[in-house]
Amino acid sequence: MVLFCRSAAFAVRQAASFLFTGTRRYSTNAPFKFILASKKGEKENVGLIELNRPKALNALCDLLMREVNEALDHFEEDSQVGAVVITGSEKVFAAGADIKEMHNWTFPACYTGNFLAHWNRVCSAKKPVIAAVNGLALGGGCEMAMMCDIIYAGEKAQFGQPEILLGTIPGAGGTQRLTRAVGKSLAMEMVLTGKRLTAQEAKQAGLVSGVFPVQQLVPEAIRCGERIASNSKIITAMAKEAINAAFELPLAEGNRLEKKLFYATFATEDRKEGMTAFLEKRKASFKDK
Amino acid sequence: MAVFCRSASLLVRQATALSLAGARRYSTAPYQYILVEKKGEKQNVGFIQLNRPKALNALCDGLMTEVSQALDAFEEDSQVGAIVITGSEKAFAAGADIKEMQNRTFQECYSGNFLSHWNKVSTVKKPVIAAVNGFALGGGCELAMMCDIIYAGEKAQFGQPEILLGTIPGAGGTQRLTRAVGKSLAMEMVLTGDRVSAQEAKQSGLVSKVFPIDQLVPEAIKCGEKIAAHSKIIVAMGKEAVNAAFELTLTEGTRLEKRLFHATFATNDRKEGMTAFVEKRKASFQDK
Repeated sequence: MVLFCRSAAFAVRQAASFLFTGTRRYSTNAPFKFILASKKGEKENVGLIELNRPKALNALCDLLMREVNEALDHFEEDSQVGAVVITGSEKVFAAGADIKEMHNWTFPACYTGNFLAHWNRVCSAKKPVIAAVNGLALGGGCEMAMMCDIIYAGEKAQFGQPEILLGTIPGAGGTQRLTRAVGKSLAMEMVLTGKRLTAQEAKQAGLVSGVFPVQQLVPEAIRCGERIASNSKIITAMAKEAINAAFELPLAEGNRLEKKLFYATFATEDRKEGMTAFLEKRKASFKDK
Repeated sequence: MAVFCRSASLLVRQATALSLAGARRYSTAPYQYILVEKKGEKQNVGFIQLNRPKALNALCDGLMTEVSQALDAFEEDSQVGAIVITGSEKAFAAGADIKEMQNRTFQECYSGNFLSHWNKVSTVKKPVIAAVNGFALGGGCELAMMCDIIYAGEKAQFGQPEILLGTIPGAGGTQRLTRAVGKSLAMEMVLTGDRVSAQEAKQSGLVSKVFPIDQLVPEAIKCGEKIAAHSKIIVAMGKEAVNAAFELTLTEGTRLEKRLFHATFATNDRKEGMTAFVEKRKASFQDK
């Protein structure tokens, strides 16, 4: 269906959503305005969120972030979904936050209104989230990718934190996550000059763990999601929690938390099934409990 | 001497051990799961070789207990300045012994402090170098990461595949791997069970050097000899300071380092080292 203007597209989508009695569904992209949400993978066990604000190069406006959060909430509740992939278009993941939106903000308004507070929903997801970054991931876009657990990049991807050129600083974790990922010198260089990294440089620096041809990026990210989704969901959540603790606790305390979570896996049926299957040389059949 | 079955070799070993008046010695074989000796020109590098070939060196409780005992002996040995831990050419250690833990309950784990003595390696004062040929998976990868330095053979593979068995790493894997290779790669490895090659491990910072398979252990021993040539007390302080970087904030870590640095001035070795440098001669450290 070819649509000639945004309002027409919007009207059609609203009509479609009414046809589905107003409930949000994944397979119709209808109810979201700034993103597309669907389930992918052979077993439809990978949630896919595509940022869809092409005219604005996927600039992250408040409504877009709310829709991302809503989609994440749905995927978290969906017992079929084991992992989530977030991506943009081929040209751009997200070119930044929406500057027009924050142009006239004042400090009191930011502080009292808790500006950007709900932007870190991605970090509180229990299921693993993979960022599939093609094209530009700048400013808030880079920060969103870094909130995800795994970053895959397309060969032409570029990462950067150019906030300094606008007279501000990263506000959604960029200074913290980038420094932990790529080290002080490179993080300082990127944040203080606005310099960008190519996909290859990002891989070399430890920011992303895979680089793929542009066309293969999203399929590969989904494949990674499928591999993750084939394991026990509860054990996966515990593993993710342990890894994230490495950024919050000193090593000895992190080891202690890990050990307690490890012990707790022995209170699950999936742990027993997994080890038994290994010893019986057969495929494990996890039940997520 | 060829022995045809494990019990026969055990008898021989026991006899040999008894004939040495029951004292543990490095050059004979009182250990069941490991081989222990001293290497290097000056016999100053302790050498522990995991030796459970049929189980690909799967880390069972007995093996880890023996590793702890060997480490204790090397710590007390004033001749030894560094320690190398290695496996076979095929496998460093392919994981923990799954059979041993298959039927454990949460209650048994918690009350019995399961795996609590596995981190002996991380409490050793002398530097420990992991020389990893072949598989270092699960507990094997965790054992390597407890060491101070990791050298890898060209065909080494590192991984944390616990998730495929319905569990998570329990001996520091989620903590040390993340600190070594960063979030994205650590998440990918731990959540998918995927492995990395020696080259990938070097590139991501997990290991510091890669060698041809047959040169790995000699090179690790050479590294141990380099370390053992220095003052033992100062080496221990250097290691303590580096490890503190993973426990303290930068300011506090720098403070600890400064106190340790000041403390080096309470040693003879510091005076000898700087004097030798100024006098353009070789230093002669006394470990005090």
